[in-house]
Amino acid sequence: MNIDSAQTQAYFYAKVIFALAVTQNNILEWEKVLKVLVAITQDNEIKDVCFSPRFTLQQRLLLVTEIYAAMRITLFPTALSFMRLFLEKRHFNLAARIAQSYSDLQDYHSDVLKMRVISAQELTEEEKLALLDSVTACYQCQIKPNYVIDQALIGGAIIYVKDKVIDASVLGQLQQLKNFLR
Amino acid sequence: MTINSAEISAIIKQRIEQFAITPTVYNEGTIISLKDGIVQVYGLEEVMAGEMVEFVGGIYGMALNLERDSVGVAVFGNYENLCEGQKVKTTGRVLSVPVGEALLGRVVNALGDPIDGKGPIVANQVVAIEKVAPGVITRQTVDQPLQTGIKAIDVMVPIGRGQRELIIGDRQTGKTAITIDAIINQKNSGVKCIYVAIGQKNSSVSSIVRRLEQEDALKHTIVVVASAADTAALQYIAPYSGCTMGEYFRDRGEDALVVYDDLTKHAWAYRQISLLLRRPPGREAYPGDIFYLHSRLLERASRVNSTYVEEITQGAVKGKTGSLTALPIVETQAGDFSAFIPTNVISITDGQIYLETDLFNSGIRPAINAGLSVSRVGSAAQTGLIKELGGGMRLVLAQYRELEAFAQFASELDEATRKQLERGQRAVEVLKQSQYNPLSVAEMAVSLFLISKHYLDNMQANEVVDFEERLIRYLRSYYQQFLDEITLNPVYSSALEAKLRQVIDSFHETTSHI
Repeated sequence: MNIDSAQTQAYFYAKVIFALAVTQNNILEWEKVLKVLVAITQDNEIKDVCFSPRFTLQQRLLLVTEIYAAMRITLFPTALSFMRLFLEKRHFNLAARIAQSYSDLQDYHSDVLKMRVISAQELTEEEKLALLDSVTACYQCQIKPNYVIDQALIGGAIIYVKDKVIDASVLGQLQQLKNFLR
Repeated sequence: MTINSAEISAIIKQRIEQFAITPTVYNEGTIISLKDGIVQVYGLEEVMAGEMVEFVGGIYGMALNLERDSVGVAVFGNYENLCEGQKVKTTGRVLSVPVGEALLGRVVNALGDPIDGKGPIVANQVVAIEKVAPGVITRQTVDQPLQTGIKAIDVMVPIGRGQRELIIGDRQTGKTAITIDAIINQKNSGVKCIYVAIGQKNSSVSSIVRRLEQEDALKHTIVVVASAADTAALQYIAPYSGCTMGEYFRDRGEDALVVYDDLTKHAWAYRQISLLLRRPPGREAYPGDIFYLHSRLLERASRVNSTYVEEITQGAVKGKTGSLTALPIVETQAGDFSAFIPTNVISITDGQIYLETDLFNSGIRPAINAGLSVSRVGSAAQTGLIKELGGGMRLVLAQYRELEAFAQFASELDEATRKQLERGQRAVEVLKQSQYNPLSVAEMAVSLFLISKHYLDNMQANEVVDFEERLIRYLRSYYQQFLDEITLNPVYSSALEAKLRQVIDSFHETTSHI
């Protein structure tokens, strides 16, 4: 596997962090740490400081620790080690992806699957419930739904569960018809 | 041409009515890395090995490596527009190509799409390129000859229908020329030909296609091209595509001939893909399954029995056997046929035709080394007439080669040795043949008759080729019916011998031989 890819790198970081979190029984603590890290990396001023060669690694680590302290989060030893590595390698662009991958692993660990439903129109509560029931029955686990509206679909909906896609939209059917008539 | 809009509307309406609306279900992944036509995809949990996947922009690829966290995909098209983060879809289909009569006379790429500008191909069906070879029970003995029209081959290393005969030699020794002659010779024989060009220059392929057209041999031939400009993935699948197209004819009780030109470049393409997929390299950096790569391809060349044909055609074709003959080409470096790929393919095939640079340069063409060339099953399929007249040819050539070396040192030779040397020289001359000039069984028999019945003994060796050519021209002009009769019934008899003697004598009497 090519480790140059940001997505893959982030996935590996998340995987290791999650494995440590499971072993040390601090999954939720890590979740908080990563959430704050994403917020920190989105702040340009802090980012500039962290990139500046005028500050040593120790000084940068101190700054980040203080930010966490200000938010009433204590960095435990493994989190501190991760933070040291993160600052040393300057992986600021990976923070959001690491947090996302960690969240996915967390869901997978607790048997929760994310479902994204894109529909042309707002679904009624009955429709949402029916959809949730059938997907839950299919995957035999808890489903975390996310409903999005996209009028470009014209009608129908597209359902994303894990990497499976069920395209029942009018747009998709027109595309199919186009391929059929070609 | 008038366009009737009502008719067009009716056709479109009819097609729309046939269209079944169903939700599409597929797996979706994300490109996480891309390098030299190999893409790593995150996701695609349910993808099958060898399944086609679709990238943005209608580009297709084939899933090759199913790993724990990702899938390694070889891209078939232009991969320069792909980038990290783009979505990839599964198609639920394994890689397939169109097959059928509609492909005859066409030049297609490794995916079966036409590249000759002659319009779309309306194929009977689409078949997966990876198939298991017919089993033991369904096989029929190879006992029918596949005439190449090349004297040296049909006499010394005969090829049977359903056989795998390797053509091996250095660059510029006439490997492709032999296969093109063999394809040309299948004209009017009912044998369908598939020529698969792997990693070759487009200009070379173009000249081959032009030549086949000139010789009126393209109409029974399919040319599958994965040129040097195409991706390694296309070069990798090209022989399997060609084989699938040939199998269509075999499975319908017909005979087909497939030429893989060449498997060395095929192995290079597969090595490139394997290294980019980070598969462990072995000898000469080839992956561990390089033998299987070629054995599973060549095992599909076979002769199948009538029961198999009947089953496949669901009773539409009865009492007919089918065959797919394979002529794989392997290029050696500096005559080293003990290298990895040559030894692999030699062990898979039913014999090899070994071409030598020295012979080629000394004007012996086709430059076949009779000592190293062998056909393991072809002798059972050899025409009786050719077997009778050319049976001693290998021995004569072997003795000649031995004495030739000895004669260089000896100052004086006894009469018997001198005669044997002269006879050998004439045998070498008789087996010479110009390119694009395949001979019929009858014409070949006449040539062999000349040498076996000592008609050439009083002739200078350098006059033999010219004499033989003029004799054949004479026969074509005045005795074509006689030649056709021999070709139809190639059995040696005293009556045939007498007639041949009479014909040759009549040629001697004319002035055409002077």
